[in-house]
Amino acid sequence: MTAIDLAGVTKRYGDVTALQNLDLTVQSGEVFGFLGPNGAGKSTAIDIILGYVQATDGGGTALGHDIREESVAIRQRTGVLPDGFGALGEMTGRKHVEFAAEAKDADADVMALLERTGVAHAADRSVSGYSKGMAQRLMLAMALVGEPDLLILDEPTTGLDPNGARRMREIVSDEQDRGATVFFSSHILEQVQAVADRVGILDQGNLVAVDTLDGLREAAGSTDRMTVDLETVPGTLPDSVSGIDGVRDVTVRDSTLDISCADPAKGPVVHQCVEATTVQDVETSQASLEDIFAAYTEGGA
Amino acid sequence: MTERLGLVARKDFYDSIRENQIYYIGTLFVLIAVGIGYLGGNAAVEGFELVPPLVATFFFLVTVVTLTISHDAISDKWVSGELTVLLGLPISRFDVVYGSVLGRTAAVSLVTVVSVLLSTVVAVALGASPDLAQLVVGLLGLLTAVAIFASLAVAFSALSDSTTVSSTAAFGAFALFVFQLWSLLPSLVNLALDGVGAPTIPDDTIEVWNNLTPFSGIRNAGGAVLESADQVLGVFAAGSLPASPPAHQHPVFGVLVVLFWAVVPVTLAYLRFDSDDI
Repeated sequence: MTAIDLAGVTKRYGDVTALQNLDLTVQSGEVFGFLGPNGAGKSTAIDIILGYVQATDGGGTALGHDIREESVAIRQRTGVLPDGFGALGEMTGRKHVEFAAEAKDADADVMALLERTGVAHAADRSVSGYSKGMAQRLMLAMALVGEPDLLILDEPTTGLDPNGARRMREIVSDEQDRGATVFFSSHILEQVQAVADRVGILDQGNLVAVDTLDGLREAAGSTDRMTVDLETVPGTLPDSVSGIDGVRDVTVRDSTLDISCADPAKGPVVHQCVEATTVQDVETSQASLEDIFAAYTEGGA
Repeated sequence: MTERLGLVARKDFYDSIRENQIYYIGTLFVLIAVGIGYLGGNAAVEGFELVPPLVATFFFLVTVVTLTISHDAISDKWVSGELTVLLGLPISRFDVVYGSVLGRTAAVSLVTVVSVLLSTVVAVALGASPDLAQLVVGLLGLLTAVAIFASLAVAFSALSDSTTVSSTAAFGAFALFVFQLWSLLPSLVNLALDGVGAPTIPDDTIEVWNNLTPFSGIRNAGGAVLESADQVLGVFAAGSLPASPPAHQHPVFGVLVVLFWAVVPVTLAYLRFDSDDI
């Protein structure tokens, strides 16, 4: 079942195209990370789904409702943590969550939600005095009211300390376990990498890739890394390692080889090193989302 | 479409309490009202009527205060990000616009009713006998003015995310209707078009034009139920209200004028706001 389905969504502001012909499908129950640099169009896409902004062209559905015509129905079953939010007047944190519950006509254990997001200690303080991180936690508590089918979180970890970011990731995972779909944007790669089932990479308004992380790695040309510490580096070893199928680059640093290669090449590389000299240590790492992101947004893929 | 209208209206009303606006306004209103009641009570023996000066004063006060506290009802939420939160919930833009009108109207209406009643109590305690019909119609006229100017100000606030634009528009409304620049507009048009020659806009058309203001509409509508409507409700209305009013001063026409100002501008603003990008 489809939670979000966008077709040909374009948004232009005068001569500036913020979003270009976006086709995107998010399946129910998945955590979808929307990744892109500042100004890539992530928030514009979210704003269009939520009805904050009208698409210039194209359209789509969220939870089966038309995004142009049935925005309220979408938001009835969606928890939203918007970008650029502000406090509801001088209301306390508790009143904010109560207001969200009333708006959604939902029964909510207000204090439990505030506890869950880590802002219960300030429940009876005016939100106008909250720090950015506390307000972010409160907005997440409001988003969780009524156990929504879809969570749309725009840059959810902005302003959060490491504990807050970790708690956010735990909540995203818990919500997915409950059966909710989570669609979130971020420019912080580690956050996306930690929780997303699939990732969409947006660059200058264009969706340049959508896949699982493994799929993106593969499509981007697999840039896994190996560091092999040797007793000595025989003169012919770098060339022989470079000749292994799948090895992209070999750099010698003292008695260490830094190798960029495809995942299947790792075994032959180690074998080659063992045959040539004494191997003291081997470290491998998969291509990070940062590498993949750079490959897509800097024309490397 | 309007399920959350009451929720937004209540929030807006309680915002005025949480932000202490209602206390500041209430204190101002009560002090002035009690002062008028005191003067009215003391002067009662000389035939002084309490209600006309009380209502006239409060027409000025409610207009100033309603425009002041309503002109940024939406634009301020827009700038602060509060609108983003509201519209992230299952709340429609219709709810936001009309809920704001209801909430601000309720807040100013509450302090207006309390103040007018307190003024009356003070005057009666000092020996005055205010005309009950004048008092009721005068109060209804004031509450109608509150609703109209809340509606107008919220309309201005929905047109732009700039509080400068909305506050300028609110001041413009005040100048048009309280300073009565409205009635100068036909003369200015005639001057611009004709210089000192024969006017393009004839006097009878100008007379109709002058009766299109909210205050004239309230006064003319009040003529249906109060013989002394001109005396009680006429402070910012055009001309005078004869015993047998012409069509453009007929109570029905007055009601239509009132409905126009209460409904049309805010609805046009809502339609524009509904298609705006937030």
